[in-house]
Amino acid sequence: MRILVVDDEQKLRENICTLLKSHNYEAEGSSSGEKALDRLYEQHFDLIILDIMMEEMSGLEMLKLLREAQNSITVLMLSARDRIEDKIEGLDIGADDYMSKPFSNLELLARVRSLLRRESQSKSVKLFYKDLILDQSLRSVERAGAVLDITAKQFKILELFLMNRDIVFTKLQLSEHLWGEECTMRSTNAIDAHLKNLRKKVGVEVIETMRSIGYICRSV
Amino acid sequence: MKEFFDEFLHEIKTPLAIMRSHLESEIGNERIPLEVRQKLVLDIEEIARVNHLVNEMKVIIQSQRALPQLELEEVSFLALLIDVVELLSPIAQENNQNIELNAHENITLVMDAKRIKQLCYNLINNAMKYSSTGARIEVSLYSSTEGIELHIKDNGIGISKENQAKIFDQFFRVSSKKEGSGLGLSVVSAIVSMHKAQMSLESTLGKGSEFCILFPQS
Repeated sequence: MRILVVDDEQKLRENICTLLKSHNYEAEGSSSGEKALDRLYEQHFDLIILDIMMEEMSGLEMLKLLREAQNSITVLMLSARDRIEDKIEGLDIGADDYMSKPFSNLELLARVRSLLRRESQSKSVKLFYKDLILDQSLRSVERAGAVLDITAKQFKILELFLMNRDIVFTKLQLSEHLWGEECTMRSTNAIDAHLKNLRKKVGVEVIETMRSIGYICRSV
Repeated sequence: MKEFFDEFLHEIKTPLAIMRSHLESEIGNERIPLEVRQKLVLDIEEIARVNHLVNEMKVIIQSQRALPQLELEEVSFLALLIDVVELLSPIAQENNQNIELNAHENITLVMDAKRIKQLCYNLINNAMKYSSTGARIEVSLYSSTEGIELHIKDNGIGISKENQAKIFDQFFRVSSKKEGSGLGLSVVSAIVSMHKAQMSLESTLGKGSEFCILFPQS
């Protein structure tokens, strides 16, 4: 999957590209809307990550030009201006999703996965870990053939780990994943409690603790 | 002022995004010593704290605009409260505190769910912070002739008459020893105002406090 990252902030653009590449996407950066449009004529991309606030041509202007040219490529917009007008304008022009800065890598990857999944219209898949099966369409988890009684939040955590093997998640990232960034300043202990209960159900070996760092699900 | 603040926000949030993204990409790097990565996790939390502060300021400033921005939708208030209580209960349990939730099931409200969640979180979190071990925090939600009432009551240290007038001021803290930005109740007040609700407080020093928020019926 090829992703074009359009942002005039060099460091952020490079960080996003590095992150995407480390998750096996082919990522390429572009420092302006004009350059990005040129690249889109030359090369096929599956997704554009597009910053709104760029000097010269803004992300909204670039998106408008793309849609006027009947280009239906999937677009994820980024903005530090978390204003409803921007979101509405971006979505009205034809963006597929919108994220506010700053965002966690975890959230960005989740959105990218979701958009690409939608793009390829692939069906929901089953995720496996030894005798554990997580069914994304049925929202169910089985272990050794028995259906587990699992809460919505426990499902969300397990799904995240099974989809991101060998990636360390901090308690803060997990907390933001479950509750959003407004409510997570003093809440990280809640993650320990959820993890403890989840492990009782799925087996302690599935999610490993990395002391004072976070949690990881290793490939088997 | 509006444009200035949007630009200001952009200037602060962009470097935060860069730093956080960079640090998060390193915490799983096993070539970096464990103790260094443990420090990076603390740095990420500090970045999140600054970002949280910026977001709190944003809510306060937005509430002062003639037409504050809200993402309104009809939401089950009980489901929202369960979510917040679920988040805070492990911390309460650590302090041997108990959060009791009494809410009518069918109450829905047209609200900005993200903001109301933040309001509930701030008030319950505050009740826990200013209550001793073994305290009880009661969260009640019901419909009355006047509207939808949310009550958050604790049997904690209480607030003096003098401080009751100040607690909604920005950066005011009853005790400097308590963690937090000092913006929590200012944010609550801003969210109440954005939803055209009313808030009242009854508190007795040494006995506890009760915050009541009255939302107009949708």
